[in-house]
Amino acid sequence: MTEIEAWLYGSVARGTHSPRSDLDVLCVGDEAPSDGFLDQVSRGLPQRKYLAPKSYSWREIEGMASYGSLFLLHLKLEARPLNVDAGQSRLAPLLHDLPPYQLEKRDIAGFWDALNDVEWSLSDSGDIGFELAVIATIIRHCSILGCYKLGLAEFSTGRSVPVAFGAVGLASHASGALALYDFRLAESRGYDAPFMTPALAEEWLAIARQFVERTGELP
Amino acid sequence: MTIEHAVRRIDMVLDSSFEPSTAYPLRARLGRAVLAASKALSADLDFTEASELPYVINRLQAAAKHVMQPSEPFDDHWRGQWAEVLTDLRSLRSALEDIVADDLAK
Repeated sequence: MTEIEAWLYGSVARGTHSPRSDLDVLCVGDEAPSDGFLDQVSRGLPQRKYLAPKSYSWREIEGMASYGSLFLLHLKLEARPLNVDAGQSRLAPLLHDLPPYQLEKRDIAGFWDALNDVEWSLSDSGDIGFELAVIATIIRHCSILGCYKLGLAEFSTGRSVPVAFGAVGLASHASGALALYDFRLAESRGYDAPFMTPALAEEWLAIARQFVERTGELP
Repeated sequence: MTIEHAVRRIDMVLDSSFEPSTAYPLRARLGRAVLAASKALSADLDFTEASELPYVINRLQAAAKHVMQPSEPFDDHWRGQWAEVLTDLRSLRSALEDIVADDLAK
């Protein structure tokens, strides 16, 4: 049996990656994957310079499966194994039998707390770029949750954000939210983001609050 | 960004609950604290690069990026590693307070 299972997911797995996309690789095993292992399983894949491995133990993955983790749902829908036959995988049956997600209310409360932190930090000389990146991440996570509540399993930023914003009456902000997420990617890689201002951060904080509140109200 | 700003952000992490139900903001709090400490030290003319602090900050930056997976709010994955993060954060906080005390003594 393979000691570590490696699975490809995200935009490269979907074939929708851009030059800024991460190469998302999940590794599941009882030891952390070595650099050599990651080099081997990612060989020949696009976006290797942005390799973003996530590693979990089997116990952790089984715990996530018990509450219907949206991350595992994401994998169920688009991941493909890199170093194991699906028929012999230990992960594949967990994904197949995944129950409905159970932590929607907890997530909404967490998004709200994180936005309160942003407000506090902005009022205490916080870094505008960092806070905008935090807002962008919350919007991305909340969009995925919103799509799930709408009965849509949509995990790409480019699709989940417009769908979720549209569903809660904020469609006019969807393209701005996507631009903000593009900025988050650039910020995390140290690119300049010349357009960021305190006023912009305040504006997006207000929009994100509306978005989280309305997403929480979706049935 | 001053050292006092950084200490406030570190305290926000140290004072946080580590329960899964309230842990979503922790990753951003950790990143915010480390960034603030890094910027404050860059602005401190008396800060010496020869100290241990750059190494502590590098470890914390790596933790903020990797320990807590953004795909899941909080889980057992990083519960075990959080103890190391707290140790480094307390060490960073203590060192920052020493710098402030030294500045006041001058």
